[in-house]
Amino acid sequence: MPKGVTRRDLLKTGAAAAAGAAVAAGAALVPNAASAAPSPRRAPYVRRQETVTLRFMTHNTLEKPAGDVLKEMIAEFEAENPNIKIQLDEVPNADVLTKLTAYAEGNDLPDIIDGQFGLSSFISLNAALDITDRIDAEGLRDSFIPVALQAAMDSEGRILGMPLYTGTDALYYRIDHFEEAGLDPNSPPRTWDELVEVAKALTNPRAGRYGFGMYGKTHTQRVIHFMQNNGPDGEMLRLDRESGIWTILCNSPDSIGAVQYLVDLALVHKVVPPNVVEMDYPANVSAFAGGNISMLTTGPWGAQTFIGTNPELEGKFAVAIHPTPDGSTPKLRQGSLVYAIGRTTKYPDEAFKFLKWIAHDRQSYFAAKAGYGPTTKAALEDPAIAEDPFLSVFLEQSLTAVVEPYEVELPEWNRIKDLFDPEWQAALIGDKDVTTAMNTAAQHFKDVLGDRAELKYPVS
Amino acid sequence: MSTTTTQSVAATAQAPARRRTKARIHPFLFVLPSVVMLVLLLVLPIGQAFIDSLRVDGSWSFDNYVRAIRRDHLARIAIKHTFIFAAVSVAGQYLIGFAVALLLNERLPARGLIRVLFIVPWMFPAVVPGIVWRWMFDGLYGVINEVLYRIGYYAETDPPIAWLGQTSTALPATIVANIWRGFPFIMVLLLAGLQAVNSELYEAAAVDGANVWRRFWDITLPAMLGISYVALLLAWIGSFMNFAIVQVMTAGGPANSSEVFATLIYKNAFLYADANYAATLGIILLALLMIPGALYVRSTLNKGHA
Repeated sequence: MPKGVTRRDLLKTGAAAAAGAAVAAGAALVPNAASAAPSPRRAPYVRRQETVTLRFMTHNTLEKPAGDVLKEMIAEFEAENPNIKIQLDEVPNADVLTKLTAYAEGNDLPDIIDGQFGLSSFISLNAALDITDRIDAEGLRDSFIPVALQAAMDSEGRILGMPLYTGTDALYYRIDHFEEAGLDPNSPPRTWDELVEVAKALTNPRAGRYGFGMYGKTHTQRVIHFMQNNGPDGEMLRLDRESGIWTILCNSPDSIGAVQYLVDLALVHKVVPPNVVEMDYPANVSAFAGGNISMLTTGPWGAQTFIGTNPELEGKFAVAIHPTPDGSTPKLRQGSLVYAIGRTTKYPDEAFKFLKWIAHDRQSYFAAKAGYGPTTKAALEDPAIAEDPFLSVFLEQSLTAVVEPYEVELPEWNRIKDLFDPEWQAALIGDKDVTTAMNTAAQHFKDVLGDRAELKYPVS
Repeated sequence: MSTTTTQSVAATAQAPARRRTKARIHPFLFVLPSVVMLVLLLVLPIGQAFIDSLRVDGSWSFDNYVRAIRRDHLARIAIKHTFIFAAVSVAGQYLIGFAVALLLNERLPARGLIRVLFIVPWMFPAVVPGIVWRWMFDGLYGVINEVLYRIGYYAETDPPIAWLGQTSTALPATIVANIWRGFPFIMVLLLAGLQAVNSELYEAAAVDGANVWRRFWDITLPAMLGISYVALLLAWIGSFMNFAIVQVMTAGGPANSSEVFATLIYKNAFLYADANYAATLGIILLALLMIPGALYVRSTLNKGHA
């Protein structure tokens, strides 16, 4: 016991603390101003407006310029709603699923959760609150672009979140590289053959430059863009809605043809970096921004990401329609980033209000400022978006884009994707021929999905 | 008076009894915090993991174990890679650690500083060497390719080597990084052992005409057997459960060529949301690690009794 402090002093302090705690406990219920004056009648008690703090799990605030735009919007929201504070829980892009899983397992879900790994991650973790009634009560369903909202709906039609941005992949290319190679930057490749020829012309290994960048390590689902445009059975999986059975198509002749085309870019034409299976999304962005690759397919967010990586790149690259085998209009998977309300939130009203603010009310502002694909019909009509030279390409592609059911509804999608990756990589580095690799992948899909899937093409 | 006397006699008789009781209780009280912490942080989680591993679709079953042992091709690949990773890592760490310990046991200028510098790799969390080596092995920007190119190993027109992008080199590359990170630990243990060897033995051997090799073979090596046993066991445990270096450098790829047990557990737990199966793999890993763990504990207890 410190010198000079008696047992009585401690008792007094304890009593004061107890009284303080009692006051704090009852702080929500305080008499209104009138009660301060003596009154024969008991003063009516009113609930003091509590400040609600919402935990907002996001990777977008770590990106440029989307992060700055989002933070601006959060500040505006807090100014308009002084009783709601937003506490950022920033998670790097690659760690979103790990963190979300840990939160879900620990029963500690944030109020707003990040769907970077697709709606299937929410479904498999049972992490998202069903907001269908709230969406309909506010009449929001029709204000979203259908294909964008579809990414937030499960197989039973329940709406589990709201899309913040959406987009397909298009072809980014370096104007300066085209000019150096004597190519016309106004005539980017439209067909697969043209893509090969242009990539060859751009490739110069001595200068550490390769014509085309591919995703060999992560984001391999971009292979789907090539599968989808190589024939009717070019797909990973197809869902029969009536029977609920998934048909495995990654080993169809159309899919194998598409993968063979990509493998040939690496092994035959040698127009991709030799370490292609080390190339994840950040590595490809760095390589494009640093001049090591001249063409790369990615979404509308790519433009700002490239400039953020290398500010000197502004004006040195352009975007074109995704190449297809014959130059026809591409059919591409539409990827959307869906945010949802954590299933265990104590503040569903406030969380919905905030989610609606960022994904719906301020959608035009966010899409235009961040350069991301819009998700609402109102944003589509915003001149800042409709006339944007980059976004307009993505908007044109989105007219024929589709949402892949497996990316949204299949809880095992992440496992299946991870079973596909090694086979794709084995083919890409020549360890397996493409047919064997895709057959092996197909068999793995069947092993995981069991009776819920069927093989359309034999695996041996 | 008589009452007082009786009381004092009784009190005198109770005092040694109280002391004996205290003497019996005190040791338990001293270890109680450690026991509580062990139960909370080790026994309960392991027990929970074991219970989880027996849950399959809401019922109790050993199916997760059957799946891991008989049906999961990745588990078989991962266990094979884990043994290779641990065996080669431990061998490399031991040989380099022993060589450096012998060197640092000699009278060198600035010996203290050199010893500290050699310990540096071990001072970093495993993620840091993973990142450093990932960039050193990078196919496009890596310093290793640059060195090979400069010494003429390959021509300017040859494509650079994708160390982490080939199935034949990805696992060896992670082993190199693990050896680099782990050898200082063995070096420190062996250096302590070397310093405990009686110098008079070397002097006597020198007088008898024993050369350097004979002195090493007949004096140093036998003296180092005990400490080497402990060092090898600890290095094996550390390498067998390694996660960070492999995850950072290759994430188990390409084409699962560097998949180890720890990365497979991580994927099942955090990427596939299959916590029960991840718990099963964790229990299997624990069982495999209990063998060297038990050997280590036994050797420690033997020393305690000696």
